Amino acid sequence: MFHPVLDAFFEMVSGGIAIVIAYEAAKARSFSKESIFLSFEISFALLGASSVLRALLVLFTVFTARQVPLVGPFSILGDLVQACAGMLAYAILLWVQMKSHLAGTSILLQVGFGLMVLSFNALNVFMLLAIATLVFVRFLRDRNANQALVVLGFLLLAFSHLSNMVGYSGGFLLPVENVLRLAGYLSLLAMLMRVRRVP
Amino acid sequence: MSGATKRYRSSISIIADILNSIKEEEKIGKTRLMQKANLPTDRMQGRLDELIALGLISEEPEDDRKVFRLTEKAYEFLREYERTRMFLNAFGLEF
Repeated sequence: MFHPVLDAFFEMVSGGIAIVIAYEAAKARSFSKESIFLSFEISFALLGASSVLRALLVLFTVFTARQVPLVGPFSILGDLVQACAGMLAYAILLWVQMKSHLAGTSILLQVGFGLMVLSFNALNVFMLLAIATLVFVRFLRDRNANQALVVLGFLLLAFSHLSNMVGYSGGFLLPVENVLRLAGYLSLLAMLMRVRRVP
Repeated sequence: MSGATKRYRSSISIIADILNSIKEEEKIGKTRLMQKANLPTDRMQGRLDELIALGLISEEPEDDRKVFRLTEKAYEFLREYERTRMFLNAFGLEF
């Protein structure tokens, strides 16, 4: 395993290269006045900035800690920022590629965008189930009805995304998705009303 | 529906096509240029005026007609265009 400082150095260099690519895309856009380069600018700037930020957060964690920590709040924050920036940047790049290569082939384009939506929904389901599980663990200890409503709300939202994934191709589950989402938010609203009822 | 697909040509590719057509022949008349750059008369005249105004081409009289030549600025423009085109092409895309 590399030392975190070496890791941060590598990450900083990678981020620097991504920023150079973003800069070249900006130059190309300024020269050609073609908006396609904006996608490269934004996506590589996001990738570069998030890598540099993550490296700085790792360095900050290392230099402020008495001993080298494997995981610290700042490095987790860096991981999160990088993952989110990466997801957005790659989605933009994929969008550009699909628009360019699949234009005119509407079925392929639909499949391409469908796969993108599918992967985002899968991630949403995973995160919502994680939230629901963590609140449920707390509910097992506290037996609080408001927590049960929140668990139910997030579970319904997860199922809403799941039904979107299942029914994306034909759209036949769209009403189910919307009903589940509404039910999820109603559950959260019920929790809110119970909380506000407290004198 | 016709089988042939009409490819969109961006403004910058049209300019580059015109400049490359002139570059290939060193100096060129308007009719030959229209054929080489694949542009109709009305659009070609607008583009030529634009390129002259930008200082990319010069118009010179020769015999009883007018010919167009590239300026030094046009060669630099074509180099920059090639770099930009290659950047986009590296990602599998084109203008």
